[in-house]
Amino acid sequence: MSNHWTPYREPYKHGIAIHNFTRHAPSSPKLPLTVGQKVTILARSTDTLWYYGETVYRFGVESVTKNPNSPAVARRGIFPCSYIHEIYKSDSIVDEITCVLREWHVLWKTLYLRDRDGFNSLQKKMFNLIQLRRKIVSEKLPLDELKSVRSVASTMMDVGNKTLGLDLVVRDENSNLIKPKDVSAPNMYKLHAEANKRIRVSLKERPNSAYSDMYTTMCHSIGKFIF
Amino acid sequence: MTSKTFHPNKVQNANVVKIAVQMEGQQAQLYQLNQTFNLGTIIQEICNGWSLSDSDQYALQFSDDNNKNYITEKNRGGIKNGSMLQLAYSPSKKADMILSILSNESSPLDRKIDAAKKLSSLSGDNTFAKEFIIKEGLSLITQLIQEKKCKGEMLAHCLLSFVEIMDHGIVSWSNLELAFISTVAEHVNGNSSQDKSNLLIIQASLSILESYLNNVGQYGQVANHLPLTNLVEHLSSPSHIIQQNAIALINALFMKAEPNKTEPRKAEQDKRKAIANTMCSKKVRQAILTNVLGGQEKVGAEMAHQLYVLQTLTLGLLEERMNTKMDPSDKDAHDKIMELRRVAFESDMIGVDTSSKRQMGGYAKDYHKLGFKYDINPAQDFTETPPGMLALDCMIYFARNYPEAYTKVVLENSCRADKHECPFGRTSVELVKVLCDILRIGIPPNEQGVNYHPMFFTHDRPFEEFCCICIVLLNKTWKEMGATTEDFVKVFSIVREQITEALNTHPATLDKFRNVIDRLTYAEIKNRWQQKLIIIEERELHTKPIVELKELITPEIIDLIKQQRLGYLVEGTRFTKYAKGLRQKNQFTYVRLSPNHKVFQYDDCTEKSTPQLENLSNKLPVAEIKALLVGNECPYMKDVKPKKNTVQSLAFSLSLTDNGEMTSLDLVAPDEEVLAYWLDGINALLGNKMTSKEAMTDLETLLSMEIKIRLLDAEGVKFPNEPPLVPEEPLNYDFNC
Repeated sequence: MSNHWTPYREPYKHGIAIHNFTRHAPSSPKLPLTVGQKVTILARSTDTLWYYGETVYRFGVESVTKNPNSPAVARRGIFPCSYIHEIYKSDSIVDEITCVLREWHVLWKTLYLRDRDGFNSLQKKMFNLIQLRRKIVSEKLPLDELKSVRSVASTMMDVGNKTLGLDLVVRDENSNLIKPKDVSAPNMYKLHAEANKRIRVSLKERPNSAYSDMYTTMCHSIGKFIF
Repeated sequence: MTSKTFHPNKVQNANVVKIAVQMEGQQAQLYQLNQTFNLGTIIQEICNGWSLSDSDQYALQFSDDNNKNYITEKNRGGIKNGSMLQLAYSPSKKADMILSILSNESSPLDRKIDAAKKLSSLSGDNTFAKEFIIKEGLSLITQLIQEKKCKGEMLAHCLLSFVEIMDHGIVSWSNLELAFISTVAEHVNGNSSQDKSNLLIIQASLSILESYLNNVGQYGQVANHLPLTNLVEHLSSPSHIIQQNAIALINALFMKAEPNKTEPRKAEQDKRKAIANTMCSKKVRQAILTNVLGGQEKVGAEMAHQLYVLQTLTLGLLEERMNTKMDPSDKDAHDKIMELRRVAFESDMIGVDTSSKRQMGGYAKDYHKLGFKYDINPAQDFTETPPGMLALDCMIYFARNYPEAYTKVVLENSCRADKHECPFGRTSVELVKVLCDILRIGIPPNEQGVNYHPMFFTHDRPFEEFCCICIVLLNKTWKEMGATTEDFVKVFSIVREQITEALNTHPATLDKFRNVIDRLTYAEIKNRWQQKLIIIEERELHTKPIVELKELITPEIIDLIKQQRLGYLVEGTRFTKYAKGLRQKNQFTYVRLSPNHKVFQYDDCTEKSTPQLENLSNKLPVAEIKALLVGNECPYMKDVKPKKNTVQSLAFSLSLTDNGEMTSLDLVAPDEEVLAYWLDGINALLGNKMTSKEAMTDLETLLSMEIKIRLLDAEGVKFPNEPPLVPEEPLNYDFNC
């Protein structure tokens, strides 16, 4: 029988779920998706009705309220093409902001448990950053203004990270936070080195950052704030 | 059982409507009309009620204010319970009666007028019109009009009847003789009497000519009998309908001035131009502005449509220039480009000999400063269509009519060397293209359009004037945005929005348009974008998938709030002691929840101490708590006088029995927030819902942020309200990857 699936090659396409695709049987090959969730598309069925792919970010499982030992939700599976809105690669700073916002969001929820003032002030910062991100995404700003918005956003992220006492966190290629228990020690070392390099590169891209020295002196404690 | 016996009756009742029937000179009768019976039978029954013979000479009519039509088998469904109907002579009988008077030349005039009046009031009825046409009535009317056998009031009603009958679309317009049209056209020519019948004659005649043109007529057939100048006179008519019909006829002429095989395209263009020129003349514009737009009455939908058509047709004349590429051998166009250069750079050295420069590319530097894309040969800038030569026309118009503004725009930008200059040439070409698109130039008017711009009636070169305002705006916006050439597209998206928004306010004059657009700065547009986004976001939150997502996440968030509340209880609170509603000085109780959430521990403490768990010797196991009592439910608050109710509202008790007879811990919270946290915490421990205002606020805060974060990547993606279809499952799962 001829193969039903056409695999995609790198760079993979991404898509956004436009509706909730949930409540599958536990052993179902269907990937549970919630609206707005980003997916990487790995293959498409030849009848163009189904995609096979994985979720880029995992929601819920990382949330502070869940027991970290609970079984991870499946990350790969099939989903109908009709549920996916294909998207194109965005500005790298947009991805960075997205990533920082997700990280802050996790932290924000832990602050909710123990530090009301910190919680409120971080909320304000997050709203500001969301606003800036939206401006950049709109693609309506002229270059000069865009440049200044980007610079404001980077500073806001740097200052935010510093005040939050956030260390270097190690991420995989999709900017997912990596849990130490998922990775072997040599691999962790490798990933850490890569992360350092990435940050150094991004610092070169925005030399205006007033906090450039903070990264170089930063020691890293893996997952200090994550669980 | 009873329902069974009543059932058949009900079916019968559904077909019977109870109505009243009236007739001139008769007492009204009530009648139960059975919709399953044939109309003839019904009419006979009603006639019998009044002892009328010849029931076939009668028919029923509706007698509502807006519907007096004859009732036929087709429209009888419109008869409702309680309807009032009219019994009258049948259409056929009435047509006979009218015809017998009108066709008899010896009938007295007043009877003829009466008959014509009756005819015009009946002609709107389709059933009557059909009968009348079958009996050759329409031919009679046509003949009466064509042979000028009637005038005054009778003519007015004959014409009105003709319009109404033709409106039913039963008879084709092509059957009419040209002599008829020319006679009708005479009514419009040089006829300015404001006698009531005469106004009706003009109104109907205009309408006939318009319908004739739109249906079958050719331009010349009407235009030859009716000079435009005569037609234009009627724009000043006191009758709103005459104004409207006149514009409609002008529009029809305009549209008919189109290519046909016998005439060369040039002639057709000239005809259209001639109409447009007349319409743009100050006199006509003034008539439109003062009589049509400035009149007492608000412009109605039909008038708005006719004005829209007129404007669309007039602006449509620019289409030719818009779609014409610059011809390299067009000397006039080259001269215009030279003139643009001269006005900009030589304004203060008139007479200086520049012939030495006149070599190929000699002016390239100047053309570069003018912001042309092809500075060696700017003619190439006008080879894109649209906007083609129209762009050059507008630019030279700007330079000639507003030389100061023009030189300011050009010089301001040509002196900058920081990439922030706004290139006049390129941007103007693009701007004209955008304006053509916004005004839909070259697209024929549609049937529904009502969107016209009063300000375009205020100038004989409205498009060029409009364009000049927009060139200045473009420069202003460019500066406000601090744009560079790379931002070209972004600037234009703002400018387009500014222009569209300003046009939407339908300013009455070009000056008002300029004022509106001056206030629509870049900052203002950005502001509006943001407002729009907020509204969209707000609306999105109520779409089905998002509501579903909220429901999915809510349990997790409630869990988080619970955790926070329990954490708060573990931290503990120092409560002031109260006795009989009075604060006990310097007496405090400290209460903590054990970290395993199983036991409350409490003890006395001082004002400043924060005792640790092991120092709190009294224990109350959570499992023993049977009820949580709040406010004046607390037994120890029952005797407190109402004036102490602030204390009362902050009180709560943990009860060991359901009815609260035996309480273990009686506490008064220092403020509402602490109270809310404790109540939520205890409710959580007892497995109850957390109901405080604070818990709701927290849920809202946490939930809305969670949604925002989850939808970050989906910015700009639209979510359908209903879930897409899920296809049948695939044949296999061999992904190979």
